[in-house]
Amino acid sequence: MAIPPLKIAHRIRPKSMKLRCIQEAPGRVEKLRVMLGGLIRHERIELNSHRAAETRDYAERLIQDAVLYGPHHKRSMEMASFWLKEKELVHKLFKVIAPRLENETRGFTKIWVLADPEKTSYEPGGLPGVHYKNDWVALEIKNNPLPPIRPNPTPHRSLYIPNLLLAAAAASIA
Amino acid sequence: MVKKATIFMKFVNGQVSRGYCVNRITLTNREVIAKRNALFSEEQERQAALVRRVEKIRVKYTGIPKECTMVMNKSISTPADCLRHLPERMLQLSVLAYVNGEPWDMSKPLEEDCELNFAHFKDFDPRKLLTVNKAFWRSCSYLLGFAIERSFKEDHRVLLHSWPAPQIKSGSFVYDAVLPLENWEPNDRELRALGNPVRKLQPEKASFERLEVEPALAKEIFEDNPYKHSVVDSFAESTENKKVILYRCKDHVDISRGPMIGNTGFIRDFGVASVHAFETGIGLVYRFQGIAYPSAFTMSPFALGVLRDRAKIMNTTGLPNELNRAPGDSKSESTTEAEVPDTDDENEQTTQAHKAAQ
Repeated sequence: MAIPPLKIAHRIRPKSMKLRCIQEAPGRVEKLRVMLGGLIRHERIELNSHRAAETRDYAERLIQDAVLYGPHHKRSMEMASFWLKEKELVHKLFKVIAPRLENETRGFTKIWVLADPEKTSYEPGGLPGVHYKNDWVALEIKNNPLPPIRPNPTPHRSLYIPNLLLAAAAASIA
Repeated sequence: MVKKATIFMKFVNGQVSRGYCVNRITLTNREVIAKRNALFSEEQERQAALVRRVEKIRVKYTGIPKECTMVMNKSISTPADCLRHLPERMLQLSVLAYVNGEPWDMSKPLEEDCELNFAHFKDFDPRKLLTVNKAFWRSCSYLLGFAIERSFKEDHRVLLHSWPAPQIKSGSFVYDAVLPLENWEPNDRELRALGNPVRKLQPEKASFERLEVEPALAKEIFEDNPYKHSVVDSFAESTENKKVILYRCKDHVDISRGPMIGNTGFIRDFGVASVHAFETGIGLVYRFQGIAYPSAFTMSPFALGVLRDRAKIMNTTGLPNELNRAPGDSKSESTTEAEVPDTDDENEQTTQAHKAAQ
């Protein structure tokens, strides 16, 4: 049976992730288990963007299988009990999270880019030129009971004076 | 019966002094500028002297990096003074102040306890962004007048007329002026020279000073310019406290409803793109068109070239109703910004202008 594709755009990394794990691949798996366990338990975790993207793929797969096939599906249950070391989390995945996200169409998780913690004095971004150098994000399961994260303000670039002028010039030429 | 006296300025040992004369004499451009500047300074000092007792007000700053409350002087402290207590980055960025949610000039004194915030050219609030953009375009028009008055020789009397409400999408800011020249078509060198006085202002960061004066004084200031003189009354009627709002940048004084940007340091690559002559009820009027952009942005020479090319085409903003009427005519919807309320709907005005052009 073909495995259904994920509902999120898969992130392709063109270069090596430079993982510094002493146990190499098995150590990485262990780390992923820890992060997935944290995500299912707390429903929102903060971590760097590489780990968040990697964890997100696995979390999406687990939740999607749980939503599609339910707890009586053998492969889904095997997968869940491999990645989630604690049995109560497997229970939470199938009985709490999967029913809650049944109607989600655009992925079950979300990544929020957070401000550089050292520059929080210049947030929430009234100023232009705030950069998220510290690579710090929040990974969360959708529809969680936690207070929502305030989205970063979106710049209105089309109203900047050079853009207004260039748009008007383009319209006059066409 | 005594004839009404008119005031003129004398140059005595290089200093400007005030005298009275029965007969009006014609002053040169430079003397007119000095006279307006002197009268403005005089009135500014008089108004400052009216504040006898220093009272304190609490100004609540609600922006970034964090909220705070400043204790400032009533009728003396301006938003620009408040900025000095904030991080330097705010000083570099802030273009326009917002007091209790309303746009407020950087140089306008605060009158009571208030909430203060600032706006800049990349603001996240689109409404603030539009106001800041218009203030920039208006200030550029104002400075175009500054450049025109200082670019001609003394034997050419320059009479500034007006500028239309800011229309960024029209591609250029505009100032109309009456010159004692016929069939003048400036070459590239002259156009470059026209922009020079303002380009020199950018590193100076000269601030725009705001002053509200009685119509009688405004008439005295603009008595050498019949066009400005004639709009004083209608301007005063349209304001709440029946006063005329004047702005001064360096020694240039002009009428405008404002608000203006904080200082001239925000203006980059100011240039006069073209000058067009057109016939009106008052005779031949020259329309000066310029282009500039805020220092918060960078533009490639190619993109800027596209904008400059477009600014060479005649800008018809504010023209259709005005072509055959003299300014100050009570029936006319004058092109003077003083009489045209700033509408938020830029598109509407531009399309009207385009229709008129067709």
